[in-house]
Amino acid sequence: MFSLFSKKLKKPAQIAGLMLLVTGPAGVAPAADQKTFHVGSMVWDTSIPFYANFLKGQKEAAAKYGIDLDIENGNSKLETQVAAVQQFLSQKKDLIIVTPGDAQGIVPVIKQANQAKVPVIAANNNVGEGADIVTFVGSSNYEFGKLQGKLLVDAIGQSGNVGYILGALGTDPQVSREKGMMDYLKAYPGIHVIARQTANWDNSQALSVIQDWLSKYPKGAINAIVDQGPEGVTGAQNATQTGRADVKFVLGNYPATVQKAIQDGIVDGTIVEDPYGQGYTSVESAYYWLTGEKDKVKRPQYYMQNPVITKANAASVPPEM
Amino acid sequence: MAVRYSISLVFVALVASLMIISPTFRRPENLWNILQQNSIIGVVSCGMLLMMIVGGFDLSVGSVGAASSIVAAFMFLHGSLPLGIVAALATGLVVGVLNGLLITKARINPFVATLGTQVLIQGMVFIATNATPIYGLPSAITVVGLGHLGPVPVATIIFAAVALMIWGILRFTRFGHYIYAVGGNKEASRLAGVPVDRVIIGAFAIGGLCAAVGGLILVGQTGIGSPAAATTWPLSAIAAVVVGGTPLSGGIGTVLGAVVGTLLLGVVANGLNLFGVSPYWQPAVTGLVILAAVGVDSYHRASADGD
Repeated sequence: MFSLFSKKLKKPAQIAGLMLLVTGPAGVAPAADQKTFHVGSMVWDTSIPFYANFLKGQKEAAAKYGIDLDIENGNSKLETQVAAVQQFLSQKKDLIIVTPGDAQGIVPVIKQANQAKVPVIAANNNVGEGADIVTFVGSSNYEFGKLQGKLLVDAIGQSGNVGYILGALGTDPQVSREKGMMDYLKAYPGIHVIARQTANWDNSQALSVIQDWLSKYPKGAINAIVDQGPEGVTGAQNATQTGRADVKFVLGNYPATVQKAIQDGIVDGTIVEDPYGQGYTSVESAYYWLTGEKDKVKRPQYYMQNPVITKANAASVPPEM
Repeated sequence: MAVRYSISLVFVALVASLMIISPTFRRPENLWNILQQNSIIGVVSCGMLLMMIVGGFDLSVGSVGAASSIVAAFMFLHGSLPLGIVAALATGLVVGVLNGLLITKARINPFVATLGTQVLIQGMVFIATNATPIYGLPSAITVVGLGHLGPVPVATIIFAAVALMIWGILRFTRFGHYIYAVGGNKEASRLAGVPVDRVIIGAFAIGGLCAAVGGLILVGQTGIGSPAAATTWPLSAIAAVVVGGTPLSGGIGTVLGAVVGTLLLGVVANGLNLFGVSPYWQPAVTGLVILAAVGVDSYHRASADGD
């Protein structure tokens, strides 16, 4: 379905490859034999807006380093993700980058790659226990959750009641961000999570959950709502419009709507992942690994910074999508 | 006619008991919220009702909702408000007619035909937007999704208007009567001179239009054109219509049933939130409610047939 991407990609990659041949060792890539590396990248669901900039980063790094990058969409289905990786193996890719939707479910096929001696880099979402990967390039969802906890404490102080909106249940960001935030809040026994609900990373569902909580908890009974994703921004706007600006909002991720809501004072803060940087670094690391410059690849985790956005810096940090 | 009203009785009993148990539930703000939260799926369900009475259903309503939200957002930014509304509705109409043609002329089963258009439209939306939402709409647009006229949410007024129109079509027009006839027995209708193909195409065209209206309300609610939104619409709408007493086999069904089915599922979701039921339990409870409602209804229907 997304072969369109790979077709588009091949051209800049080929041009970059040609430039390499012309410029030789003086070019950006001092590869000994000027071999074009073939790298497959499987992203569990390219339709999620977050991955638009992630893919942009991967493509631009591939163009820079003369890599033939083949991006496949996992369509949010585990079997499609597994099939994409198997396809990469049968195509004898030099390296495979995976962004799995399910950390454990992808392990068996990564083991196949291990047996075939094809190196694997995990990007954005990690691969579970039991398979070998070169490194994981991404942000730690656990650290992300801890930073959300810190923003929450900054917003409401050392005590208060909190509603907690979860992403799609069972996904790694949902599980790990929750663990990170709850671990952080252990130091603050005065803060109570009085309600938890999933919004499945969906604006309409997050709005419903927020409306229901604001009905249930009158002024003073709920001090803040934390959303693992950015979808709660609509509910935050609605809260302000309906006279419930007393409730603080801490969100996750940073699309343009959240940037504006933070500048307007409707949302207190959010945590940024850097999708472009993750995409770019994943392909760059693949290049270094394949050219033998393995010391340039941070292992076993290559965590990118998670900037914290509040009203103080929202104007100067561009949105991540 | 006890059958026809059984689900309404269940709904009234549920609402009444929640009102007695929960002071939060019975607050007018909460009741208006429930109406607002379920207006989008209610509009989509009204369209789904026609398609199900005529003997089909439509899996593409979610893609159509996303596509029309994208088209509307783009036109709001680069054209004008009326142009955006017209373009979004046209998107729904075109896909609906396409579905109808695939089912009647190409003789593709509704499941396969609308699954095909669903995937096709979703792919086209991703290609057109690079899977990135359209931001930057004027915030005034959220009046449609979040605004109120007096205490009444604007989205609910749109839902009521659509429900009334569909009711009028089914009750007072020859086309509406034909929809029941075709759903009841296609061959007999054909022999009786009913233009079967045109009736089916018409039902799917209106179904597509309703999905587009849902997409417009969605833009009004979120202030963005969202390519990945609305994926749950098809099954939610089918569930609402089925809970409302319209069987997948078609031929019967009422707007009241579809509205009650939508609101019943909405009230259950609201109640589960208000009572702080664990998010892990909520889908299980919702599934049980659907099975119980449909089970009671079809049991009554079977005993009524036996009499």
